[in-house]
Amino acid sequence: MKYVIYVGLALCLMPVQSVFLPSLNVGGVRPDLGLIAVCWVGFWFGAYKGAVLGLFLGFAQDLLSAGPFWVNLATKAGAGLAAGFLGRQVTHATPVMMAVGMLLISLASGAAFLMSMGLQNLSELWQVSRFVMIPEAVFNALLSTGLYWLTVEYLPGGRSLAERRISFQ
Amino acid sequence: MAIIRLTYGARRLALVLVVLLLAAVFLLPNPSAILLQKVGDPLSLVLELPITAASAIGDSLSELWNGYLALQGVHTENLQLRKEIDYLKNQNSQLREQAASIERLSTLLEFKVRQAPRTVGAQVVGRDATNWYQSLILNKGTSDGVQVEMGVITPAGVVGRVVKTSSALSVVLLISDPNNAVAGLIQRTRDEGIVQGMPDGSVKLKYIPLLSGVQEGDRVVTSGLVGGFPRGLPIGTISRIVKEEGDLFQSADIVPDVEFEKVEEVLVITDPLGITPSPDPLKPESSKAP
Repeated sequence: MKYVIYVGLALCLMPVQSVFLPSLNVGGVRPDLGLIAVCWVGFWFGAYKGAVLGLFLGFAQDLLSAGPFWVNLATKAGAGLAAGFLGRQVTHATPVMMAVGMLLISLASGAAFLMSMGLQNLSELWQVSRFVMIPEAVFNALLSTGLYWLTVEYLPGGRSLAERRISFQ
Repeated sequence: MAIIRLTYGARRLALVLVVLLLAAVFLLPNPSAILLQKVGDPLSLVLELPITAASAIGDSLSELWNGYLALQGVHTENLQLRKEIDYLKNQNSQLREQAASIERLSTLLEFKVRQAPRTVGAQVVGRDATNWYQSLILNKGTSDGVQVEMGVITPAGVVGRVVKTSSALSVVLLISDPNNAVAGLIQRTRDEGIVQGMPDGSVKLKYIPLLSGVQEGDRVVTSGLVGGFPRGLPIGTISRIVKEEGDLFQSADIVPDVEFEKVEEVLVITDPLGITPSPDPLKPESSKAP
């Protein structure tokens, strides 16, 4: 059943990412919903589920991007794994911790993209980092922190999910 | 219905398999890409439906906004556009006159007439799913004759080239992307260069000879040297020339003729040489609506 949910999530998130979000960008940069979803699932439900969702979402994203076929697949699945492993080390999740964690994972994923682009000089590397990698990482961190806050404060059962997570450790 | 529940050991094994798969993809990118492309073909058929539906919803919302809610200043704009139409009509008649005389002279000199490119119309249904590339997603794929490396244009000018195709969708890398390069020609001076995008989204004409008399306001068109585009398609206008001491070439900033954020329909050039002549150079050959 969960695989059907993953495919459904990929089918819903990708149109939002490639059709609606381009009109809602800030300074030409938009958050990576796929990465946020994968980290979210990895963090709350474990590395295995995060990695599997990452494979599905990354592959769908690769089909709708001009980059090489493997980059999103590898980075999203890797991000799901990393979020899962990071989640196991955390006993009490806070908004700041979510922001820092997402920022680090986004920057690591961005570094993989930079590697795949084969940029030739430091100036190009810095420009791409400045215009794409850093703003996207900040955007992802802010959005996932907001999502965490909304889940814990307003979603029915959100607080209990966080508390149950603490009791699992 | 059977419920498959993985035991802890099986889950750990699956996790190891995922890691191994990732390592294989990372270490062998080219063979993996070929395999993934084949696997992705049926998935693109599944993805086409929600993307087309989302695109249609987006278009309806945008139409609603533009048609009813953002009408302020339309009257002034209308007057300006009428003036512009009058000016363009005048210019058009002059150009027709010149074209007719060129045709007569060409016939006299027995020049071989350059054929118009053959094109397929397509609709833009989305943008790149990441921030890392500037690209468009089209609703036409290999089943409509679209192949990788084909040039993509609008009546205003060059948009980019196809970099990825599946049976139902294709991805076009814009000329404003740093990974794209198109051979360009300065129309007035006939100097050639390479049109390339920059990470901030601007477009540059690189490798212009130092002795070139290029000026701001010069028009840049495709040179037709590299496959995908025929000669003479508009790319943009030079807005600034960059000439630094010690450099072997000069470069120039270009304002593209196409507004990439507003592109909704495009033409994919399936045959740049136009072996089969078409009466209208920009008329798509496909009978299907884009």
